[in-house]
Amino acid sequence: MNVRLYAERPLYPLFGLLSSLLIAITGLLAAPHENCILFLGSVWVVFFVFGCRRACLAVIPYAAVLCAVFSGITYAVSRDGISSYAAVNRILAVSIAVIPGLAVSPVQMVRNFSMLKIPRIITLGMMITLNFFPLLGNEIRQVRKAMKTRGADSMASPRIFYRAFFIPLVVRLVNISDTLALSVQTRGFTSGSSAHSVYKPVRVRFTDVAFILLILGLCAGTVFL
Amino acid sequence: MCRYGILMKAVEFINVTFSYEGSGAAVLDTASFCAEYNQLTVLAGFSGAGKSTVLSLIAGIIPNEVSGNMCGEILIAGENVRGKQLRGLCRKVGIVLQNAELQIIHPYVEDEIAFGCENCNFSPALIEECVLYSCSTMKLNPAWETGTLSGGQKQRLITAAVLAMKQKIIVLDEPLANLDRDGTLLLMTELRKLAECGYAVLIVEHRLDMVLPFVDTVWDIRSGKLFRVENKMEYLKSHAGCITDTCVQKTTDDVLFSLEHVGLTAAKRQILKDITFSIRKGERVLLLGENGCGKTTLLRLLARLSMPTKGKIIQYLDTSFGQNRKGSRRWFSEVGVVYQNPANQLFMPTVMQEIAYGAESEQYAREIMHLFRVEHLAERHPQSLSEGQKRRVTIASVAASNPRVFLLDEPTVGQDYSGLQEMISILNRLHEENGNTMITVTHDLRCAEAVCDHAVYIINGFVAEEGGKELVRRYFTKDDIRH
Amino acid sequence: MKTQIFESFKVTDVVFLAVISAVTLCTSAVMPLVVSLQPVVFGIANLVTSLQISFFFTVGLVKVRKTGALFIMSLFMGLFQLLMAPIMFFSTLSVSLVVELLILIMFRGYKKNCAVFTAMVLYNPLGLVSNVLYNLLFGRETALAVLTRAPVVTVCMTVAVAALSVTGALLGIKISGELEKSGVLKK
Repeated sequence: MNVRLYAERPLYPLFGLLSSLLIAITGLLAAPHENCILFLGSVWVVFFVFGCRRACLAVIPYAAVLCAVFSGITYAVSRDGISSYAAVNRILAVSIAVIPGLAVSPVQMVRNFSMLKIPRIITLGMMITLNFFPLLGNEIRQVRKAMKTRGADSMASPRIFYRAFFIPLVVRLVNISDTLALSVQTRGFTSGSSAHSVYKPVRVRFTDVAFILLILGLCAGTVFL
Repeated sequence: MCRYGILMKAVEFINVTFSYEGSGAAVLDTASFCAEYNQLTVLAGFSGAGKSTVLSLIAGIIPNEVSGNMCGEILIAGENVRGKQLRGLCRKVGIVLQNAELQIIHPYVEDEIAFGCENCNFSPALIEECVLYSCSTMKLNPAWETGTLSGGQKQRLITAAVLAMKQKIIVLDEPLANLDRDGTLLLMTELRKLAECGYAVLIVEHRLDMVLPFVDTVWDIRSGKLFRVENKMEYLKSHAGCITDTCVQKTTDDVLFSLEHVGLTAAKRQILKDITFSIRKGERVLLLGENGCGKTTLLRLLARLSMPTKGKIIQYLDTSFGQNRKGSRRWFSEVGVVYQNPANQLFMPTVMQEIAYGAESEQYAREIMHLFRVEHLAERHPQSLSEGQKRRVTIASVAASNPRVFLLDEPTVGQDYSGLQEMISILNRLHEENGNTMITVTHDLRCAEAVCDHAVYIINGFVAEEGGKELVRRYFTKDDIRH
Repeated sequence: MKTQIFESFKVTDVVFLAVISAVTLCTSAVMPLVVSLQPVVFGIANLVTSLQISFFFTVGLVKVRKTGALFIMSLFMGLFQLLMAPIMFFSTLSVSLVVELLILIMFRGYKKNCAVFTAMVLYNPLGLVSNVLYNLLFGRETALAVLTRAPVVTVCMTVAVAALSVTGALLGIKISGELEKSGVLKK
């Protein structure tokens, strides 16, 4: 998750996810239709206006490259301009649907889930997965370097290779999870339902309601028109 | 916490006997102990003596998470903890476990500190107050990203997270393990201040030389019992005195590595800027410096695990290895590398097979096992060993290939004094017999001189000074060496 | 004594499953590099991730032999999908639910290694089926055309995904068993 793309005044995460789903489904269903590109352009503008500026700008180069690649492949396979156009719309739909995910921080999302009474043990697991992802990447690199130092990094000897990679890695995962589980429990976390507070609660604002109504309106309009 | 001039007991063990489930041996045998408010107490002892068990009993990890058989009484803030749940105990006792970086689950400092407060159902206003208090105590900024913190800052973050829960009893398990001198001084100073403010602070630590100037009381654990130490200086000498170097110098005039203006930039950060020095064949080189100065990076460059982005490292080990190339399997049979985390290098089903993997013959593997005194572990799975044993087996496994160069990254972490003495003696004996070149990175004052013929002091990616044992002594004992 | 089918998850269980999901995500990071080849080569994204998903999920199931563990791992691993492509997230969850149900019916849980093995052998290939259904649902004719245009490739890729899933599951069971015996992987 790129911190630089987070919105300064983020959308209500659940509405962001909902909008992402609606835009992806509507975009995919309406892809071959001529109004689809208008719908996607409007949605992009709505995201831009409602604070996701950096994420909106960030997806443009990726969407442009993917559109070029997919439309080219589609045209080469089908020799049909409408199919290529539909392929472009699908890529744009998926790219624009990514914007709320880029603009909201995982912490905000998990806090939202906590407020919605999703079991804390699940939201804790989500936080761990999201935050340990970079740390574990580093652990994997450490194991790979350790394999080199023992001369066990050659695929020519698969029996040694898989042992040298997986065994230290799994042991490390077990150690990490044991330490982490103890740490959260000794800081008062329990698996059952128990009284707890939320430090920075995520609340719905008027702008969030306006945002989701706009998105719903655009999707409904596209579907019915 | 001081009534009529008498310090109140925060933690009290009364004739506690404990053994783990499935194990006949008692870890604690009618042990009695106390830690008081307004005091900084250290619990010391050899590896396997039961220090972590004592901490686990205090924090409620035993019996809530780990089973065992216990008799006797444990009182926390005057209350018997038998039958108490972990959630209730954590409101009285805060425990800071080892390996701070494995305990951080939030992207920002304030969220990490708030986590414990949320679990204790503090109001948002109170949480904010606690976050600010903890941050100012531990010299952290609430807005910092946890992914960018140094090792010392991560340790202070976890301590701050525990502090925010407003327990008056704080227990820390080896908090100085990966800290340099400055990081250690900062943490110990803050813990000292907490004790003076009325907290009961108990730490388990091997690095007694760093800790003793700050503590009020020392307890020693041995043979299942706990003893209050009356004479701290005598205790320090017997447990933390410098190991004498009895090794015969094997340095020759031949240069083995020549580093010329070596630099390394990674992720837009210049870790090494301009490193120039030479390593002679048969020398024992010690790399000194604070955390982040580039010692481990330099070790990796020498090992050919990374390539310098500037300058060159010329090796005179064997011309067939070429220059500026990545390490090959043959290279690593000549250049033995021992990582700070020994478990990463262990992968065979038994210790015997692990050592035999790199050895030229089974007979030589047995000789190495004898030298390192791990014969009794031959049929054990390497990953099932204790940390100290793993480290020893890793060094033995690397030594089994009879490398001409030995690179050791923090080989003494987690070692108690007797284990350390033994390890240093084995390494020096290997050095004497084989005439290998040893390059070591360590923060450990106890053994630094014993593995050093040539010291290289690195500051901010530059070689600040080179010398011998006298440089090591000055580095660890005086401030004037720091610019 | 009747064996309990649905057991509650402890903190240590969920933390371990979360860490396993995180490492699976790390090792599957190669997937975005090949996703643009999906319209041309059927199942390529599943192929490059089958081995690691199979291996790590097997380790997770051996350690946490509780009904629902696979669903939880899929939930955690799908978090990035939730942020990037919510439809794929629901697709992943559906597959895990189907597999959980099948294992519940066939083996009444993950107590035996054969149950764990079967779950992982089914999981990735069912992911392929889910991709086809997703394309059918959203009328992605070009992607569907890939299936039928080169049937040999389709069959080979499906077999390859299944083979890698089997390999990963077997490796996971072997290594987990070894570490269980040595006491490292405590139940």
